[in-house]
Amino acid sequence: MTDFLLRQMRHGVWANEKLLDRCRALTDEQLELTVPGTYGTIRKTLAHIVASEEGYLVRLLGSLLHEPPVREQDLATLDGIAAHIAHVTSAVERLFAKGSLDPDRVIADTPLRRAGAPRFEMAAWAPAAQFVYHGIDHRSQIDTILSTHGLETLDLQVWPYAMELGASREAKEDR
Amino acid sequence: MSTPPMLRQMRHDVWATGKLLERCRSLTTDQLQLTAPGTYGSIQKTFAHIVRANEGYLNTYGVIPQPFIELTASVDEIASRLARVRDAVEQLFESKDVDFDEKIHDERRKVDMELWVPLAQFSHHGSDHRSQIGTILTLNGLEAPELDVWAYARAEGAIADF
Repeated sequence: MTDFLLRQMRHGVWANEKLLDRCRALTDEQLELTVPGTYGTIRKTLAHIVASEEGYLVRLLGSLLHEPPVREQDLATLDGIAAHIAHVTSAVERLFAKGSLDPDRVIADTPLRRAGAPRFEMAAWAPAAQFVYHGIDHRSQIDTILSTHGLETLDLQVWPYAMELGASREAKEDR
Repeated sequence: MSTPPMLRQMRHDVWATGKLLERCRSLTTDQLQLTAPGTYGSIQKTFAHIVRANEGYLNTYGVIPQPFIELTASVDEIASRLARVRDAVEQLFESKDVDFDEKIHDERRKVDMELWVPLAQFSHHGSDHRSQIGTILTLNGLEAPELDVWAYARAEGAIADF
């Protein structure tokens, strides 16, 4: 049985990749579009999603994904963002390589904590669930930006993902 | 025994919808009709849509009956239906015999699918539309509450800072 969290994280990665592909068809000016009430520009929001996901995974795995760790402000291009989506994809699979995540395992710290910054102890389910939630929230904002500016949006729900996976399909008429 | 991550996700989702609904109880009738380009619709209609969809997903597992809430429902009715959704989520996970990898035929949607799909969609759908309500509130200069998992985990005592 595939772990539910793994399914959700894979869906998140799939949705990021779809959105990135969509963004590759935008001009530089369009990538800088935003609307009030959202995180920022399309490009900045996409960078924020991916950099945050790396942060959640570093906390869950207890080790850096690469050196030096990514900073949101470093992700200035779509190619740069794509490279880090690949890091996220690989880390998600590594997280579940030995089976299901223990949701109650207490994570005492993160390797990304800066000197003097507060330390948080948390159950593993929290950063895992935040990974899933955070991406959905900000992809929704990008969708709003695209739609507000009359640009084509994508259906990034679980329904089309499940169709692509073969986990859902239209029922035959003669059933 | 560990709480299943699926249940954690769904509890967070219902908690977040409840918190946002609570926030919106202090809005005027006119404010509940505010919207923004690129979103589903008004704040009130989006709430009803979230809860109606939740009912639909849970109906797949037989823990919520039809009819589902109308999109014109009042905030009080939405809150009442959300309480029913909350109970149904707990009921779903109390019956430990659901195999989420099982393939079923869903006559209402005319699809064959694995049972994990509507639950993952439950979580995605609510977060997507709450984000839109957050955008509408902020766009109109109204305060939007923090609904992420950090806030939920703190409320649950699952995060401590030192």
